[in-house]
Amino acid sequence: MKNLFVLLVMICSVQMVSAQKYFSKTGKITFQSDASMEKIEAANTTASTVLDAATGNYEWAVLIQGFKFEKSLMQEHFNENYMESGTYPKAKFKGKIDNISSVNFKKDGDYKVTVSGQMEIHGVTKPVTTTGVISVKGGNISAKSNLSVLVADYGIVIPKLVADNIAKSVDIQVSTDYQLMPAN
Amino acid sequence: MKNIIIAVVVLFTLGAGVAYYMYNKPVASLESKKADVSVSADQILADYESDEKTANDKYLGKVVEVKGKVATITSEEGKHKVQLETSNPIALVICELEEGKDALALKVGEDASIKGLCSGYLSDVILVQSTVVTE
Repeated sequence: MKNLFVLLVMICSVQMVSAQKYFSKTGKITFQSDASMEKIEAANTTASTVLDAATGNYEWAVLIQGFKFEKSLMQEHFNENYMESGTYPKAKFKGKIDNISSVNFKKDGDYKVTVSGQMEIHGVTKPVTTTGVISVKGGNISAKSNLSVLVADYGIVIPKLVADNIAKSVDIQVSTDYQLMPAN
Repeated sequence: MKNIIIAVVVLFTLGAGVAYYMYNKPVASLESKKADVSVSADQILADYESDEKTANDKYLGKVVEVKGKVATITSEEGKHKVQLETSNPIALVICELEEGKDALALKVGEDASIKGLCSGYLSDVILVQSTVVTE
């Protein structure tokens, strides 16, 4: 009888592990580029992300035209000249949290993680590695990370005439609060 | 001669002023803009689900007015979002409202008409800089 009970508990816990997928459709991505002439910044709050707590698989996707700038001309140039968002409407990251086993999703705390994978921007895919923090607080999961990318790595050409106004590297911040994905 | 110099200076100042104004112009509200396309929430999702590329040609970057039943209304960090139901139970049309705009008198379960810039499809169709259309 006792064995049966243990077996039941085991089956239940296996199911719980397999159900530990988190998602968000309100992911926030902001970026800045600081150049001598001016500061460029933009924000997007409709990014989509999935985090698999069991395997560490981690994905983000964002729509380029959803980035909001302060100045209309910047937004236009960003979409039309640099990101060519009509042709490449999305940017994506697909990878893994390398040390997912160090995150205890049942215990409150801020866990430092290393993330590595493939980033696709402007139709070009490049490997990236960065660090981030997964926070667990009262059963709620959130994540944040910063990374820096080189504009030239993704085949984005900045005309010589304005090259001094636009930084060669862009600092990107991502953050979101996750929700538990319903088991399917 | 003096007049010409004055004229040149005045023209230059005006030109610089216009350029400065254009350069700093904030992103314009879409509220007073006429929609390029009008479509139901079911239809825009169906278009994206069947062929994303063709759907992007039709909607991406355009001012789209979408009609549908309100599934949820959410608010996060001062940004309001209205989600419209579609025939697919797990896909929505997510409309992020323009800063400073709220969902007005919209209620969950009622029909609504929302106008915004279609930024594309990520398992849901997304509109940004949206406003609630009131007849």
